[in-house]
Amino acid sequence: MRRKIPIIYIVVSSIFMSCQSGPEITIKNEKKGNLKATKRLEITEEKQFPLDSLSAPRPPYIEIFSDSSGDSQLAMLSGFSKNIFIYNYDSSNSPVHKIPIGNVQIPLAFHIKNMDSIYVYNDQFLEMDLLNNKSEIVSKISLVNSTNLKDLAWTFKYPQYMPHSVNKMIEHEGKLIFPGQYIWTIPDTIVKNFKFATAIDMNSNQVSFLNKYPYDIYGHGYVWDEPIYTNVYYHMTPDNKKMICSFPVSHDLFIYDMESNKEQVVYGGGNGAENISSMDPAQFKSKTVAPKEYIYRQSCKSDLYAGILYDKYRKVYYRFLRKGIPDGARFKWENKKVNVIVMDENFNYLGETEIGDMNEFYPDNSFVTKEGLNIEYVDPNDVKEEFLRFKIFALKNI
Amino acid sequence: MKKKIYGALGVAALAIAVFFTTKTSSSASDISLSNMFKINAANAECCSTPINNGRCSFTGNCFGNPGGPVDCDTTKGSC
Repeated sequence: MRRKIPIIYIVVSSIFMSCQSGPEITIKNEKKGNLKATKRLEITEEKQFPLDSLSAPRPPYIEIFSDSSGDSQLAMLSGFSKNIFIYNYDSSNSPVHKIPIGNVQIPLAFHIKNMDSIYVYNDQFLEMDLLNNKSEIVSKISLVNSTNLKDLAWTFKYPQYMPHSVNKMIEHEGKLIFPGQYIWTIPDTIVKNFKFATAIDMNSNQVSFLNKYPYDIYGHGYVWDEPIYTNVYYHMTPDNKKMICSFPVSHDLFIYDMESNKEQVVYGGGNGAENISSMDPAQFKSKTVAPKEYIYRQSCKSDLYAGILYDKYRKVYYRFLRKGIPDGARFKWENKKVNVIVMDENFNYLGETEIGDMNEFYPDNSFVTKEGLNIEYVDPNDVKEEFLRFKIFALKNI
Repeated sequence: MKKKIYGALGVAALAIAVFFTTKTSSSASDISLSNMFKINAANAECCSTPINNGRCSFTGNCFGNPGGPVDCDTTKGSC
């Protein structure tokens, strides 16, 4: 036993060190400036939902769903008070229902299958807890095969999670799909095998994993040493057979067939999107990892894609792009402008619209309704935090 | 209301403090630390304990970092 510990750490350290020594890659936007826009987005409506004194804007997770009578409901996780509040989306009055989830230590995301089957992701133990209509936990489903979390070797094998509302959990043929991610730079030795999407069989509670990172982007030891680069945004195709993944650093979209696991790559970039570069190890040669200021500056400077949504009412896709802050301007994450790229069903470019910056818009909390694309809006001058607000964008011809 | 603000600020301050614990170049004078408080503050959970086995992301989340540098405790909820 004494001899095992150093060997494990030597192996782990070797993997880690190898991932820090890779070259730099620049991902070019081959179509920059050559795309023709025919559509734009325009704010047509605003909705606001009252918050209680323990809930704040930018909630960790929201979900829009239809209840048994077909009415649209907006469910919001209040992480501080550990409740899920349910609002009637159309009336946008006070919550019509409250689901206490105090039994879940660190709730970060949820999916309401029905009011007697509510899946809540518990980040404390990396497990999915299934709650009944009395808020009792009836199943705890480990997403790391009940591994001892203290032995961090599990992080090379299982995904971890930074849930976003725009990444809604998916029901697919009896399974609940809950994609996660690798957190830091992916060691070259595992990138070809690491699967980031988690699938939970809702009958047997068996957990399986699918879909791998594109090696040409995340392999070769390229340094993407912050979870904001390795995050996976996704949405299903309208037939619910393929998962479209929007990686923050790629102008392309990667489409994974849920049955065959075959991948298809299509262009899904913005007309003004700049080339995106990984971290340059030469900038921190003498250190074992990139300095935090360097990471923050790179993240601010770089164009980074985010969520993708399908609008079944208009048959278009929306993809978010968080624009890089130009040199000379103040590097503050929220100063990034947000563009929404619109594509048709076949991912042909239709246009893109700059909606504002991330001081006022929170694109990770977005969803589609028949009214249009709902994006959370936070008034920078609002100190009372009395409402959860959404601006609704509709598609217009240019 | 006070509880909400103080709670978020307290946790975020801790997260930011942990994030910048390691000494690095201070050339980034144009980076606004005060504004980093806002980043996902509701979920910020980095905290430093003798157990430290993770690395704090700039969003304030602590993730395991086997073999690499550590500045926060991934066991979550113990601090």
